[in-house]
Amino acid sequence: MAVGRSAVGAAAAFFVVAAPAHAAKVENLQKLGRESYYAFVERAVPAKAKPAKKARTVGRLTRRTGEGTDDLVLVLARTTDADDQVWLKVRLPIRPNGTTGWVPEEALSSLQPVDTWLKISTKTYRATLIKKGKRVWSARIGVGQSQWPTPKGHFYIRAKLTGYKNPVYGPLAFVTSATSPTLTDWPGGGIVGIHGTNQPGLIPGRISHGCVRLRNEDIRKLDKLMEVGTPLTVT
Amino acid sequence: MRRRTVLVVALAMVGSLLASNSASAHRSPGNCQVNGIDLVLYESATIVRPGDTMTFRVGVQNNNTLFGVPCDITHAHIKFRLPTSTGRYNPAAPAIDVAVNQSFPSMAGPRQLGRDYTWVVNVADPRAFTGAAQASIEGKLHVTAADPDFAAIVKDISFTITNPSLTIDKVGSITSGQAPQNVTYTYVVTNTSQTVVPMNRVGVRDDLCANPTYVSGDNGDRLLSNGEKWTFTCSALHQDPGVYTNTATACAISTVDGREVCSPPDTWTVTLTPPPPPPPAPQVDVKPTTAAQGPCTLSTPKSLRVRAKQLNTIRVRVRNVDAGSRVTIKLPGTKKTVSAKTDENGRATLRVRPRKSGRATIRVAECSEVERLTVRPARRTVAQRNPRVTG
Repeated sequence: MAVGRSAVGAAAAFFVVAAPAHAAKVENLQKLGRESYYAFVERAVPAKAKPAKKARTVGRLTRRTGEGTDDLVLVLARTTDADDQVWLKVRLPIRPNGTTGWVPEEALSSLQPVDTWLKISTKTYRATLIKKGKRVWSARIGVGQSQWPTPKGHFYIRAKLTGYKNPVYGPLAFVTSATSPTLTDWPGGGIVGIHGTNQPGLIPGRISHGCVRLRNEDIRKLDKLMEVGTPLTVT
Repeated sequence: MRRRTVLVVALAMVGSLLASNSASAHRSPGNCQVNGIDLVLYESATIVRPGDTMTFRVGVQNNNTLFGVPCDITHAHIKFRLPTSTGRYNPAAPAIDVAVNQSFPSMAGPRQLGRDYTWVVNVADPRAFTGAAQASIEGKLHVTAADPDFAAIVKDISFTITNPSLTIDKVGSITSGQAPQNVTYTYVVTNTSQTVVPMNRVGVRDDLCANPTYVSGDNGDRLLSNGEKWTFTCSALHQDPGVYTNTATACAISTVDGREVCSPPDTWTVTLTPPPPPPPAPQVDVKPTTAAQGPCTLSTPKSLRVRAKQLNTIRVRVRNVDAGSRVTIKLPGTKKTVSAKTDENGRATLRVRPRKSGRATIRVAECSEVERLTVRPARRTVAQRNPRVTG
């Protein structure tokens, strides 16, 4: 995989995290709200617990999402093993939430830079978009009810759905890498989405099955500001 | 010690050569006829240079039968005069008493008297070319009735003074510069002898330049005559920075005494500073240095996949062109191009975000080869389908 290393040099110098077992230097590629990277999946390879071929498999990359889009992963870090193999640490869109794994860089496309960061607060019922370190958008939201809570943690925007004719989801929906801890048998596997609604009067509040609902005008504004691959943090 | 034959004989014989027909009670031996006394002088060298040490010996014999039977000599007094600063003895100066009251019977063979007398050659006039010492003997000659008769001999022994000298003048082609430097040294060898000293087998030695060679100066006799100048030359590559002080000496063989003559040393100093830093980008893998090398080539990784509407990093490998050559990619759907320069390994990295799919073309300056890439359609991140999210 071809990587714009110079572009991530500053971030790498800023964050140096603990090294894995082989003691190679690990570059942290994520600087939320300023410079993050995602990559499309070129090869459906297993993701490893450590940057080593013989390490335990924690998941598997998929080239397509269940919605038919090209799948992508959020890239968190990079290292090089003793054989000069470059490994990338990625956030996986699988259960349990928060799963990360190491994949060879050849399995992914060039790193795609993204300078936005979406923050969801289930306490204040507010979504905030950070772009280049500044808050550029904010809106009230509805989150999961107590029996179907919106999962907390770090995720990313995996795809976007539009053109459907189901008013329940508003004009568009973002597919995230988060999954519901309770609705495991939901169609699609219980994937958490960020979408519009035909019941804007319920916002804000704990109103959904785990998804994040926005008023339609808010989701349209967000669509203009945020691209697929944006990191997502739910608190 | 070498024996010196007679160079100059100042023979004074007073009352000698008396050939008497009548025997005398004082004639001894009875049949003797003449004064047969002779001085035998030795010197250590016949050709000397200033600074040499000469040794002289004095001997007497009474066996000269050329004019008759020698008579006895008694009460003989032998004297010797060493050379002075003129190179020659001073006849007015007091002489050395070699022996006194000596007797030399008829037919007595040569007998050394006194000791070895030494003299360091040191003449005031460097152009002096001859020198001499002198010995004398006086005694009673038993040859006539009017005995004792009187006999005396004075004898000189001479030698040649030679005063050879050489000079060398060494000049380098530079005194300073950046290393490495090929320096040519020129040596002028001059015969500056004070006496006439032709020289042969002239050579120059230099401690930092091997084998200086003759260039010019000989008048055809292959001898470095007085006042003649011969030129030699030598080249040396001084590779590293530093101060190079080399010393040259000229030597030759004097045809007068067959001994070596050497000049005082002469030096030349060259100061070399470090060379400028090497030029950037070794060309080993890039530019052909000879026409025999292959033409330029252009390649991209086989696994390269370029997509529209995403950032693509394209690494291009170019061989046999200069480092710093411009690699240009023309993307589909635009007239603009994106370019990058090759590094010392011939690699260039292009980062492009094509707007459309199609064919991209990569070219390199100075190279006719063209690489064409397929820009695939953009990744699909948006789907038109009913969400299956939890809602």
